[in-house]
Amino acid sequence: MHRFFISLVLVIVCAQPSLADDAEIPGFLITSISGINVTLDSRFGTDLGATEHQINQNDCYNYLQLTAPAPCEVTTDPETDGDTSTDTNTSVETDEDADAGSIPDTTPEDTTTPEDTATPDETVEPADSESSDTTNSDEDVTTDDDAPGEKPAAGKADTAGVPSYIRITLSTSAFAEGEFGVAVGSSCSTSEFPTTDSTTCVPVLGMASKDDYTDIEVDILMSDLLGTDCIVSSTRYVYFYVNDTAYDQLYTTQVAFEGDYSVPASPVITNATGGEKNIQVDWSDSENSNEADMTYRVYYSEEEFTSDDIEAAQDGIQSSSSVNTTSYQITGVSNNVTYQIGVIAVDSFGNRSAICDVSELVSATPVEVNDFFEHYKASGGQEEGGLTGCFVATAAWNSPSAGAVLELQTMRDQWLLNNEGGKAMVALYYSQGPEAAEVVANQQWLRPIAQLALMPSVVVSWGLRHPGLFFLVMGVLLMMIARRQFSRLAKRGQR
Amino acid sequence: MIRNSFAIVVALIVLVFPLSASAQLFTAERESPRSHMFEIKFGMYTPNIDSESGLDGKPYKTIFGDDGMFLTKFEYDYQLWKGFGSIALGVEFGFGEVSGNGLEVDTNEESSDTTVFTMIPMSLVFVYHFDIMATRWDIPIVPFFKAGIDYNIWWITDGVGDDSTYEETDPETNKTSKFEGLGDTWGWHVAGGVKLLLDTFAPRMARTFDSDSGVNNSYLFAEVVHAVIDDFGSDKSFKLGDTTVLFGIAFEF
Repeated sequence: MHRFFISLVLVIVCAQPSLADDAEIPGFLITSISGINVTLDSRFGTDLGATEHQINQNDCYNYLQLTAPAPCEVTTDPETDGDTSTDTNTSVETDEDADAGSIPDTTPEDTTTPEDTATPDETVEPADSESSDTTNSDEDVTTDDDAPGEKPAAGKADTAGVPSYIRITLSTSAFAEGEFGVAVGSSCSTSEFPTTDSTTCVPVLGMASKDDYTDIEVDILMSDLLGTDCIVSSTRYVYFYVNDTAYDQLYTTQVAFEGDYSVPASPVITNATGGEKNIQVDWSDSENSNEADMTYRVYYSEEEFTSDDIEAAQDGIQSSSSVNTTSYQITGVSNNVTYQIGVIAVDSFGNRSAICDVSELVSATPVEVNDFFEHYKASGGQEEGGLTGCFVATAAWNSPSAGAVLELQTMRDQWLLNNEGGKAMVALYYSQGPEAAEVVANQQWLRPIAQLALMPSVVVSWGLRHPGLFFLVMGVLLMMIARRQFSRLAKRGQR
Repeated sequence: MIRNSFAIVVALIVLVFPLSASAQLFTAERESPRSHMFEIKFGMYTPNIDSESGLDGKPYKTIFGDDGMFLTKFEYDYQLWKGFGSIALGVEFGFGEVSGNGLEVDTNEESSDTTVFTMIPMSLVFVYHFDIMATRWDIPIVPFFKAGIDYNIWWITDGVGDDSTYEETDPETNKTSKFEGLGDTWGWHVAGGVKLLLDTFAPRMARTFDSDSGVNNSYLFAEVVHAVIDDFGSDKSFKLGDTTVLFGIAFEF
């Protein structure tokens, strides 16, 4: 019976195309983005394996080469930015005169690159339109080797000569025969390559076979990817299609660009109390309670400020590190100086709330405070602090040259004086030790007790100088104890 | 008070005496050797800092109120002699901490600054256990007495968590002295208490515990401690002693 199953399995296995023999089987399989090497534009970092990229409002303005509005400026109308297109689809529809990088047709011959076309509003002339390679052959679907910074701006742009596209570089050594294409949109079909533009999907690189499948560069307009404003949050994808012609099988994979352009609400400071050279700040953030991974920054200055001043890096404004709690202790401030304090919320995408008015600030003044020790001393307490320890050893052994005293001196010289903490302890000891030593020296009965108390330090010092021997001795002792215990237990077990 | 204590002791004996009869069944079996004792104990401890002579007011009470510090201590004893009871020498380590709010200098009002007083007591301790009642008469009560030399390391932190410092200028010499809220204080203590032998209540489990891990006896205990931690009467030291009660569990092995 089992022979039948083995034969059946062999038949099934042999009937399947062997994906391991890539050289023999044309085409290749993409099951994930890792199946093909993708290099994103450096503006998206160098994490080649990431299939999700988060974009906040500032990133969006940066990528689209738009001037970000001031933190407190209301940004609700995309048209106010002079935009000629409001979404991907519009951008594609104006392909002839505006939408560089988009291809209305899926044929390789129609594939264009950003430098082939003018910007949507024609405000920026292509820097190398005459010399750039604009052919649409299979080999030339890539752009030239110019750096992105030398490309003309595409989509909506307000800075001349700066590109607004993302370059994705793909390469594979597995691909031998087949067709390859790229589309961009909020939702593209994964069962077939989109042949025409739609409101949700735009083909960027038409399905075509290629001779060389290394370093295929695909430039995608930022406006296609992100839209043309940075107000309405959305998620867009770059879809990669591979048609394995040998088996007539289409494989797709995608990279997501999640845009969150909503700015968090401002936290409300509920308490700001001055301590000694510190201010304790507490705040509530109920309006952002639905946001995950919210963090905060506390800003403070002797002068009133707003987010515009923070953006302008105005002198005197200091900030905390990023904190994920709703309280923070500002330290390093001066007593009797009034500070203005504001808190900014930062969501997981990096969008920041704004301090739009000085009325959102809270003031606090650090004051001199007596902690317990200061209050005790101010009340007439006589304790002077300080640790005791080698003067005591000298007194305990009644000789500065006793072995134990020399051992402790060695520890002081070789270990304590070699680090700042140890130096501080030694300094403290030299200021306080003589007094304790005097007590021990004058009380004979205290000497053996002091010797016993100091013996652990002597052993530790010796152990530090002879670690091998120390652990050997300790190991032998432990083994002897363990052996003794086990033998007793064993004897008891026998009884 | 004494009458109440006597009543408690009598009640305890009446309670455990019948149980000791069942424990007797197992005492015929030989126990594994025992010469060590390990104790974990807890209690509230309020240093007598305010008892220092010459203090203007009660600084400890002002800052920390009536709160003592929750003290946790570990003790290991090695039994040197076993005869009429047992004599052991041990070491003790502990940790205690109490926090309060500082006082604003100008207004003397409570500040938002938290100040923390931390103490690490260490002791070299002599221990006598009067375990005759348990070993010979199967009464699971073991009175004990301890006396030891203490060494306490302590430190005080200010509102930002740094070690406290205090500067004082001598009006005559105009010399400024700086004191740090970090130090150590020597002292001594005596303690006495009663251990309740738990083996009596679960003799089979105790026997298994012994055969498996070598722990002969387990105890619950209460210990009254009287500590005098003041650098043996030094005028320039904190008075860190207290008289308090610690409760804990002990294992003899």
